[in-house]
Formats: sequence, structure tokens, C-alpha cells
Amino acid sequence: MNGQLYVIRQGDLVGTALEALAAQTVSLVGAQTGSLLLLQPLPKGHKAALCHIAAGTPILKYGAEIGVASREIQPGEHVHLHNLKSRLDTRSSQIDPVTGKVLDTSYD
Amino acid sequence: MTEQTTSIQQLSQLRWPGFCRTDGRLGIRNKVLVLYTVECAAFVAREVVRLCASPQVEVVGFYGCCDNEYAIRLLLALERHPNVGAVLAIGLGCEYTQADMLAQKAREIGKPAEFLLIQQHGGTTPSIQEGVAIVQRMCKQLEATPTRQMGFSELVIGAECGGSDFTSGLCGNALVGACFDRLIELGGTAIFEELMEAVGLKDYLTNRAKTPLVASQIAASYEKMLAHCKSIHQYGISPGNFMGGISSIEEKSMGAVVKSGTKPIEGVLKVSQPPPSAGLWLLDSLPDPYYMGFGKTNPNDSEGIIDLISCGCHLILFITGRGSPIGSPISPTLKVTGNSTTYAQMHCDIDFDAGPCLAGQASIEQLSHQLLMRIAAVAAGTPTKAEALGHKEYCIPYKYQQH
Repeated sequence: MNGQLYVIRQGDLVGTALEALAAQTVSLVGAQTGSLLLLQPLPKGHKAALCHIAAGTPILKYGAEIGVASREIQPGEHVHLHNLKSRLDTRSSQIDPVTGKVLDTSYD
Repeated sequence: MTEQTTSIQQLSQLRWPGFCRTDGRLGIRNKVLVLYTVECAAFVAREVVRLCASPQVEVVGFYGCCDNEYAIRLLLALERHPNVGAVLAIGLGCEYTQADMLAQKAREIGKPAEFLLIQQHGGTTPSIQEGVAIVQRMCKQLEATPTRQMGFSELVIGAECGGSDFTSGLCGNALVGACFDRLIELGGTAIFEELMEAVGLKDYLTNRAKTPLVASQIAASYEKMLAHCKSIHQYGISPGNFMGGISSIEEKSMGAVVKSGTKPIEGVLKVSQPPPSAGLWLLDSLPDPYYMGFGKTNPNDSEGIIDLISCGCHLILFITGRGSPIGSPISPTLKVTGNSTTYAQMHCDIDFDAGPCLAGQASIEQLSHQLLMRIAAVAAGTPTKAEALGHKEYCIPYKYQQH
């Protein structure tokens, strides 16, 4: 049985991994059906692109804009701080997405 | 004159054991500091300290989830303090302030240090259990901390006043000023702050600057403070001050600033910055002008005290005309009053009665000698009244301050 990517609304450009997923074909569940080849492993709770997204395109989840693509995104690619940026918050994307450490301030 | 000179000689020969730290500084206490890195972790941290039931074990923390460089620097300064022997950092796991980084920095300077994250550790009960086990281990380790003899030349003392009344400027603060003068003559270091209560005293302070550069730094800090007070239409004076006989912020200011004594001001410090050399230093704890609108800059006395401790003060002299019960973690707060009525009424909270100088029964010089002897006893291990009662107040707000 394939891993599952959960899609909330039909017009969403991203789906969410309910469990950690390997870089393989997954099934879409929720508001969309079908399957998708993941280009990278996806940590639990993270998102993958459902289609090609050009740089500068608003990224929709819950039917709402959650940010814009900061570069071109392929279908099945992991979508996170490296290719999605908030329209308003320029600072938070400068955190290490794995450890949560801020990258713009150092303490001696 | 002869009596005073003899006293200085006696004071210069006084020694007590200080705890050795790897950066060469000596501490007068050997605390296990339990730090929490967000409000969500505070209960676990406080329970660990409560269950360890030892005056050696204390809790301090920052309540904010979002990032604040000022607060993180302050926590780092506190764990690096010479009165701290070991550190346990407790976090929830999702906040900006990183408990593992805090533990690592303490280990880098040779202090036993660990961290735990409540979300990873199974929640409240296992975290408290593990925290208590870690702290008890650390207390045992600290029994072996090496000591060597220490004197006034290696002491850093901070001064703060709160609950001021008419006696503060005449007596309480004047006494601390005399002690600061003696301390500096003995080669020690003194830090005063409370720029919010230096209104009208810009020239008085800049005239005492060691160099023209220091004078310009003092002037800049003063102007920042004054602009802030004007913009919020509020000056650092309270209803209790007026009831106690103080009529204006200028009157309060002069009474407050006498606590700095008469020595030249070596420079201006920011919070968490240790003085680079001995002598008298002014701590500017006000936020940068851009961030002044962030909140009330000097919310209470405990905030000022923890700021002084972050600069490395071994001990705090706290002058209170009307009386205050507060104490502090890490460094003992020794309370002085110039009001003998207050001393009698709040005897359990106040260490030293300077009132006799107002009654003409003792000179400031004599009292300063007595107070320095008391300071030496506290440095040697005698608890202050606040320490004996378990008062360990602190206040670390969100703030921004360029170093």
C-alpha cells in the first residue's frame, strides 16, 4: 500500500504527509485523488508540491495563500523554507528547518 | 583621619574563600542554576528547584517563546557568572531559546551543564524526576569546587535603590556611595545604574567621566533616557516616593545618584557586559531608542538587580527608605536603609540600619567601615536576610540593546 499525501481543498498546490514518506509514489487522499512521485523523502507533517509551481506563484493550502514560491518547484518536490517564502515575515525563513536554530544571530 | 587610614589597611587585608572559575574570576557562592527557556517550561524548572530544597539551587528564566537576543545574552551572562557552579537548562522544545546551546556554552567554560526538553522527555513528571536527579548529582560535584583566598580588590558590587523616601539621599544612598569610594580605593569594582533616576544630572555625570569619550557615552545614554521619559510623559517616580517626602524627579535623582560615590566613571556598560577593568562603571539598561516603544523600560527593582548581576556583580547593595522584602538569585542582595523606623518595622527583611548617621550617632565614614565588614561576612558565606528567607526575585523582559 502506498504512503498517503493529504490534500485539504481541491485548488491546493500542496499536500501534507501524515507520516514520514519515502521518495516514492504516494496516493493523494482528501480533496484530490490520484498518485504522485515524491522527489525527496518527506518528514512527517511536511508538504510536497502537487504540480509544477513557477517562481513567484502564490502557494495555496486550505484554499488560502500560505506564501509564494521563491524559486521554481517541480511536482513531488518538498515545499518548505528553502523554496517558499512568507509575503510578510522575512526573518523566519532564516531558521535551520531541522534544528530550529536561528541562522542570523550568533552568540559567543 | 588616622582611624580611617587604619580601617582601609584592615579592609585591604581581609580575605575570604572564593570559588575558582576557569576564566580566572572568583565567586562568593557556588550555585546550581536551573534555567527555563520559555514560560511553558517554568513550572517544571520551579518544581525541580522546590524538590531539591537547597538554597544552593535556584531558578531563573525567560518567559518568551519568540526570539530575543537581549534575553538570551542575559541568560548566557547569568550562567557564566562567577557565583554559578553548574547549570541545568530546561526547555519545552519548540521555543526560540535553545536549551542545548545554553548547556553547551556553560560546559565550554568548565561548568557541569545539562539540558532537557519536556516534549522529548515525556512531559511533566519524568522531566521533574530527571531534573532533580541531575541537580542532585551537580550539588555533589560542586562539593569539590576549588577555592582560593579573595579580597575586596576582586569583588564587583552593584547598587540599586527602591522604595525611596527622604532618608535615601541623605543617608542610605550616601552610605553606599562612601562604600563605593572605599571599594574602589581597595582596587575593587562598583556598578551603578538607574539612569531613569538621573534626571537633571547630565553635567554632574559627564564631569565625572574618566575620558572625553566616556563623557560622550554618558551624554548619549542620558539623552536617550530623557527623550524616552518626555515621549511617554512619565518619569521614574512613584506615589510612595511622594508620600515619603520626595517632591520631584530631580530631587529623587540627586538623592539616587549619590549612591555612586565620588570616583571617576570608567565607562558605560550595557546589560550582560562585564566591566573590562576595576573602578566605577555606569550601567545603561535602557533599550535602544528604536525599540523604546516596546514596553516600560524599568518595570521594577528586580529587573535592575538582575541587569547588575548579568554584568558580574557578586553582591548587590539595595537601599530602601520605605522597606522592600526583595532578594535575588545568583548574587545576594544586602539591604540597607537610612530610616530606622523602617528598619524596626521590617527587621526580618533589612540587613543594615544607616539611620544612626541621621541621628548624629555615627558618621558616614564609620558606617561605611561597618557595612564593608558586613559585605565581607556575606562574601564569606553568611546569608543576607533575603537569602535566609528565600527571596529570589528576578525579571527578564523582552528588550533590544545594541552592544
